[in-house]
Amino acid sequence: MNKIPVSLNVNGREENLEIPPHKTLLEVIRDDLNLTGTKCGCEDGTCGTCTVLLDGAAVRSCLLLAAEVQGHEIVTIEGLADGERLHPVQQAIVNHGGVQCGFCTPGMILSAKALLDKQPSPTESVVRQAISGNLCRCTGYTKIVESIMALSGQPVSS
Amino acid sequence: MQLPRFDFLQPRSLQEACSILREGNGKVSVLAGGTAFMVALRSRLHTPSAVISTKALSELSYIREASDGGLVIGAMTTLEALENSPLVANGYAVLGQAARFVGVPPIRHVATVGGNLCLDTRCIFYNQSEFWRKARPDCFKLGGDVCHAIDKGRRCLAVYQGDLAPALVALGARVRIVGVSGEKVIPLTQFYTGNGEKPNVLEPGDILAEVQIPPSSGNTWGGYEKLRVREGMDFPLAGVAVSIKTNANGAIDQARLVLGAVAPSPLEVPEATELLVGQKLTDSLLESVAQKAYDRARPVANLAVDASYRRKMVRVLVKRAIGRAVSGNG
Amino acid sequence: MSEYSVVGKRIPRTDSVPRVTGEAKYSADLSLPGMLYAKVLRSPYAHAKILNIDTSKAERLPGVRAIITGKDAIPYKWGVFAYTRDMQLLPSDKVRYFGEEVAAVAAIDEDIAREALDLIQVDFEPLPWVLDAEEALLEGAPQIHQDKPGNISVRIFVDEGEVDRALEESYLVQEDRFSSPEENYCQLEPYAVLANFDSTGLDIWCPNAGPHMKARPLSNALGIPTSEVRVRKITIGGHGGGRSEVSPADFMAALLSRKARRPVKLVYTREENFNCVRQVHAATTHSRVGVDREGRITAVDMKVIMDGGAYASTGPIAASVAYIMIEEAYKFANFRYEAIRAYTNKPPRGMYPHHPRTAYGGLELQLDVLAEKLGMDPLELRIKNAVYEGYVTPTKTVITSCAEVETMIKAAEKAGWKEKRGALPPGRGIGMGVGSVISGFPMGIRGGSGAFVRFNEDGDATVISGVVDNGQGNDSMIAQIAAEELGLSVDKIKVVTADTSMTPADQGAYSQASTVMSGGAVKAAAADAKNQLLQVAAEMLEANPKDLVARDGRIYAKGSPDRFLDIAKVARTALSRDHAILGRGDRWPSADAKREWVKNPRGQVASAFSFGTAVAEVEVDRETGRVKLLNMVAAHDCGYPINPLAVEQQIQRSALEAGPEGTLLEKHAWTANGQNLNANFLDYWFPLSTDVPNIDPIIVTSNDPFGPFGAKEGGLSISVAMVGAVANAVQNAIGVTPKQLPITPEVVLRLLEEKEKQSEAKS
Ligand SMILES: Cc1cc2nc3c(=O)[nH]c(=O)nc-3n(C[C@H](O)[C@H](O)[C@H](O)COP(=O)(O)OP(=O)(O)OC[C@H]3O[C@@H](n4cnc5c(N)ncnc54)[C@H](O)[C@@H]3O)c2cc1C
Ligand code: FES
Ligand code: FES
Repeated sequence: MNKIPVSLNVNGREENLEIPPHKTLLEVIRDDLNLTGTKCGCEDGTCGTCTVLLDGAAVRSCLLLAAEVQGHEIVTIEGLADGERLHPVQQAIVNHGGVQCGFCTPGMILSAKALLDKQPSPTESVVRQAISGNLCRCTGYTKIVESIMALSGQPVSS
Repeated sequence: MQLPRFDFLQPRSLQEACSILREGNGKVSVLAGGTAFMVALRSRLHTPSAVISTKALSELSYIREASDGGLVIGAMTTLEALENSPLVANGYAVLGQAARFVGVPPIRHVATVGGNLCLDTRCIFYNQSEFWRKARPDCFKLGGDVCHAIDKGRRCLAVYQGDLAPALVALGARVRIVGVSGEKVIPLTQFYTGNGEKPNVLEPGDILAEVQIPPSSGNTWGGYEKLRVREGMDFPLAGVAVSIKTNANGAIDQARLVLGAVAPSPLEVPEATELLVGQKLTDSLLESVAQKAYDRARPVANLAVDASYRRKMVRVLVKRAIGRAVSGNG
Repeated sequence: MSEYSVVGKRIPRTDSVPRVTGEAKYSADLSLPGMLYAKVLRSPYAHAKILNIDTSKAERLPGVRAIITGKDAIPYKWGVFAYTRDMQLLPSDKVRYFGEEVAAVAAIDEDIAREALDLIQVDFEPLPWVLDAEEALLEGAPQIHQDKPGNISVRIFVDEGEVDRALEESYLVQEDRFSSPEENYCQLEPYAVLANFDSTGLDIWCPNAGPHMKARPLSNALGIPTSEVRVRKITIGGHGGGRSEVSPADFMAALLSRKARRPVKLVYTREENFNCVRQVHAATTHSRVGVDREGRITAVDMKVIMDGGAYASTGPIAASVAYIMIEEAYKFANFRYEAIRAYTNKPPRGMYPHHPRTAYGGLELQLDVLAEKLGMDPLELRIKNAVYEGYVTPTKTVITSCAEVETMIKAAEKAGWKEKRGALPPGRGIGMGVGSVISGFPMGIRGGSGAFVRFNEDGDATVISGVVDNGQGNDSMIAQIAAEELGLSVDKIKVVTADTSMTPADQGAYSQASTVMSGGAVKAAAADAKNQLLQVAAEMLEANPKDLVARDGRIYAKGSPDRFLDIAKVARTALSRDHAILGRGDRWPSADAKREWVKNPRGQVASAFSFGTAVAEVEVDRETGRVKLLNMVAAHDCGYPINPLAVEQQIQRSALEAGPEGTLLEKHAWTANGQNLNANFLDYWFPLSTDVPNIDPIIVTSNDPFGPFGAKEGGLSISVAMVGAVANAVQNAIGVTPKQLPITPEVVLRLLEEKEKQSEAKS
């Protein structure tokens, strides 16, 4: 099978891979790099479980070819915690009960991180917009929003 | 489901991209943001031998003031850049509004203006998995000779569901196409064919390079309204863009009203212009304009909601888009 | 609440950290050395005979390792009940819905497996098909199962009291017909299985709602002992009822692995998870409700037709749930309920916390109409008809702990009911709904849960239980229960759960039973272990074990906490005295074992009952018909909250499911030949974060006598109550009864237009 060399920077590490050109970033992250925290919930850009950070911005890895992102910085959910210490967004989600079955959670956290890195004190409606591409079946979104708002310091509507 | 196998090419310049496409002669496809095309590939609506990614063509990513005072936008400009651009907000608000309505934020971060304008037409019987489609005869758009949406339908009426095009048509935009036979600039209205099977005039080897918008004067207002079920994600079930220029007396000098997602191409409503120009806006005038738009819109049963509902909503959206424009919210 | 030191505390769930770091492994995340990848060939017809399958070309494709068809399976039909055995896990005779399994391939990579599918040649003989439940019941409709004449999958009939007379004598009778199409579970995790069949049997990892409930049918279908089917512990991305049963995917992966002698992974696409797992019944409900002058319900007469799809699934339970919920939510003596679950050529329909939405949702709408006609506040009418502890339902179930009225009052208060009802600006509406659900129904020899508790030498304890965690937090729940009982902190409890090779049997996450049954069993096992420990401590302290307490990691005599022993020390002392501390416990439903869904729908149906009231406020765009949810309040009587945070989570999950999902947005649509038109998240309207307001949860307690520490279940009454709340809010806003769910913009607009026409005709 025809393979091409691709080097990716994932969670700060250079990964030199040989992959078939039709492989998506999602497939390579999960299958070749074994970073299975990035989930595959639909493969058509609708669920947001495959969210990763591409140069700091939340994107859907199922809609990108791995070959396209050569030379860019990719962060997956595994790249967030500092050893045992959770990233503040992860910690907030744990403390406020923003995680249930957890399948949406990695994508949700990365979308929240991308937002907060750009805009540290977003309002609730900005937060809801920023995670509107991440479906969640369990939480009714309430505790996720509360988790993020706890970091933003802005009030939550009731 | 895996993507079909293909080769991957990443040209360094627009020129190179064009020549690869020309050699590919229809078997090579452009992958811009990929937010539409990757989905089409996955369901095997396309099985190209190679795709060329234009993501690295930074020469096509810009929003600039043109020498005539208008605006030029490179095809690879992202929708996120569009919604955040002060140049767009200042005088071309209808475009920023339309961009903000597309999909969800992570989609807009990579989705491009070119990809949005070149979006293939959509139909609930066409945008399905390969397994699903194969369970019934090929429709016109798949090269067959039936329409599953309309009983005894004679041609493909798949819907152009891009949000930007109605706004850009309302602004009188033109597009620059670079391709096999050199370069040309055509009005965006002529870019669309009205044919659901092949919605735009691009030939193998052509790349849409730039959008050019004529200058906007001080008193130009715009409004975009979109019919959707959810607050996000959904493609438009109907869209209405309006651009209005008023004079010192508050009367309308220029007006363009364009409908989206009710036909295989954006649909201008010239009757609206006739009714509006020279007038001041009143409720009854608004009502007549909305009626003209309703008369023109002929959606068919090929999306997830009822066609008659979509048509009725055109009337409502027209009033709201004009209302939004004149109230200066636009 | 200070009586307890661990339960009742609001703590982050113990399973949270691995889920936020990406470390938690779901079925699709696993891989084993030599693993193959499977893909499934599916039926392109709604109904067809399978004449012949030729796999020879596909077998020759390099990289293909095994192909299976119905011929590779033993002729075994599976069913949840002996009388519902109608499903071959891989059919050999015919296919009964578009997308049903026909063959499966295992290959060295997914691309090859997919390519192999195209090389399999199947000869079908298409048969006439039927897609509508009412049509399926007509004479002359295509027969879907030979031995099920008239396409009747299940019929439930209950007729208690004197319904006809009571309705005749009623002051008012409200009669309506409600309808709704199918919903989808939309678990965010698409179905995935990893199976490894070797000489010792089968190891299998897959989403499940009870590992023991999968092991049994798999052992039957594979013809091996149940003890050789090891359903393994795995993180699960949602259930909602749709993971209740064995899946053809489990069977296919197992069979492929057996044939190829290699591990096989089968991961469903989103489309498959929409169409080929389970769906929620479509239904129509014809409902007559009578009230007297004071607003007391006199009788309910309901006929429900449910579209069951191609197979029986949990049909007898599914067809009963509505009437059980209704008779437990409101008191009335005369009740007739008939449900017919019909077979159609659509995907099979499974369990759901609340279904059909047209039954109790319809009833809630009718109660508001009656209240209006009586000039009564709907809240007052509901309080008047509420049930209470000791109340006996028409089918002879005794309600135990019950704080139904309190949920009504608290939800109303929090939502500003009194100030808002009748005083909102045009286009706005506020509505209320009430619901009741049961916990722990009879399931014969599989209805109980067992648990072990073991003390380790460092003083930690390991809890071994069959309970499954689908995302609702059951692992955390049992850890908290064990910690309280043992006098340890939660971090000292390790849990081993949901693995049929080592955990005791458990009834599974059905009928909201996990807390009362599995939690109860863990509490009993922990008590047993604690008693053994106290015995040792008593010797050490020279005290009577009855006077000792274990709390906060220490054992001491009541009243003298200063003279204590560390639990770790006692555990080690026990070991040094040749005593390994091993506790055991089990829990069985206190329901009437003779009660049976179809044959004998009478007697105590469950062990505990929970109640809830929801209030929703909406704004209707009268031009587009779009309904915006402004506010959602939900009060739930959970008995006692083991973890208030987790109870709130369940309340919110239920509110989402019933409100935006079930009442406003979600439905499936079909082509004339039975193809699902919207098996994707673009056209199936799963609500986004921007579509839902913050959901305000209120916890109400009633201290149940059966449940551990008085607990019942987490919040599912709201998945019933919120349907009524949102539907009634829309009814209140537009002044018309929505008789079709979900109430999409098109539906609202049509209702408004009809109303306008009527008022024009009048004037
Ligand atoms: C969940 C989801 C929701 C969406 N919602 C919306 C929505 O609400 N409104 C909407 O308008 N769209 C929506 N889209 C579709 C899509 O995201 C946008 O239309 C986007 O702008 C497409 O741009 P792209 O760069 O990603 O195009 P691509 O996917 O890369 O390309 C689309 C098509 O255009 C061609 N093409 C791209 N660029 C050029 C060029 N410069 N010259 C010639 N041909 C070219 C490609 O070959 C392809 O055929 C949605 C998509 C998803 C997945
Ligand atoms: S898997 Fe990428 S958006 Fe769902
Ligand atoms: S926590 Fe289960 S999908 Fe979000």
